[in-house]
Amino acid sequence: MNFIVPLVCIGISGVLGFTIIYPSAVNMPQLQASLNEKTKVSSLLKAKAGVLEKLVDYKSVVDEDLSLVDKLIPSEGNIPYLLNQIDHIARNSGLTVSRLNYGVGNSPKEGKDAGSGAEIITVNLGVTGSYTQLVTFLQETEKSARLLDISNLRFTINETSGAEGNISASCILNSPFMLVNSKASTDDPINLNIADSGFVTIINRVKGFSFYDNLVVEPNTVEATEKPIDELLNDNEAAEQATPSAAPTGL
Amino acid sequence: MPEQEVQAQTKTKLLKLSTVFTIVLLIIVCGVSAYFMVTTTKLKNQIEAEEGVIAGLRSQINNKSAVEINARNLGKKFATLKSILNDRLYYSYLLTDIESRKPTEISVNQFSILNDNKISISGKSPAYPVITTYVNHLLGNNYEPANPTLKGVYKSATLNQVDMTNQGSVSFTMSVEFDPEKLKYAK
Repeated sequence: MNFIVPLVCIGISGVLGFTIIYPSAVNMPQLQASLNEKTKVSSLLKAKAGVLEKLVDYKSVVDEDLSLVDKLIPSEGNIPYLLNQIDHIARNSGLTVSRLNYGVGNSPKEGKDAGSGAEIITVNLGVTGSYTQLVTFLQETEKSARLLDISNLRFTINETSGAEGNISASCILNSPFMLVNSKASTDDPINLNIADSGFVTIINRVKGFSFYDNLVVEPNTVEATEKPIDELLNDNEAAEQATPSAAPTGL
Repeated sequence: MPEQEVQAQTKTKLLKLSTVFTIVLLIIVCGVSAYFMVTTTKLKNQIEAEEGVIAGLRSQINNKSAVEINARNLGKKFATLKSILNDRLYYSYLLTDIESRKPTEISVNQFSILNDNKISISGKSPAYPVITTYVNHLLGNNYEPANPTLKGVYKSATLNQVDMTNQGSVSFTMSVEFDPEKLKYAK
């Protein structure tokens, strides 16, 4: 009878231990982990809400930038306009277009862009003209709003031509297009900062490019033919080899 | 002291000790239990509060889904645009620079930019030393008329073929390796 107090104390301690301490000790790490996870999600969503708030404030800028970027990398190939644009640039540079073939796909050079989902229109362009006109053409393509990336540039000096218009050049032009159809994903962050200096610099730079939106589609100088990419690349090499033997003429 | 009294005293002492010990144990257990209860309740409340915040933020974000879609579209296209512009080689600068380094006596007949950052140049020169001058101009970092942003663009220039059989004219074929990184930032 005298040990009733210690026995009761032990009993109560045991009950407390089994009903409160043990389950709490087991659950506490899970609760802590859950809280950490929720805090993480909450801070991510707060950041995203902040970004969205900013984007809503600058909605017109976002729309304008998207429209601008859409002109550089359109959603559709729009091949006739692209070919017309190349033909237009070449003619404006004083060159005469002798070949204009195209293909759609990923050329070996643009393989790295395959992951971005961009498709490439590869154009094999053959022109004749002078060296200065060729340089002008390259300068114009480099600042063309619809992106035109030059590769495999080759030229030869024709033996029979005079000093001007004596160059036969061929090059491969790659123009990307990309259909993006993003969906709103609440828990995924938006990795776009329109105030970032890198973003602003590139956007300001491309605003200075030449836009050919209002170009009236005219018949191209030569008829364009669709070909497989590999054939276009091979054609470019073959075109150079087939050019008449060169004469010692100044560039 | 009789044996029985010693036993009684020991029993009383043991009882006292065990009572004190179990009461102290109970107090500790109560304290620990209270701590766990308070902590778990606090954690649960914090979790509930965070869930409330998350639900509010999600609703706020969902209401701006149109802006989010535009931003994602812009983000994706911008990433591709940036990659293309950063990797772009400005061949117009290369052609202008190569021309500025070429001695006037040399005439280039064939020019090809190959895939492996090499240029093949074929041409004719009135004399062999002029070709050497051309090579020196290409590799010279301080050649004045050249584009200063393209300093060091030509890594090597190798004469692959020289034909001196024609009198007064030397034909040559040259392979020039260029640094594509320099062409990316040409101005």
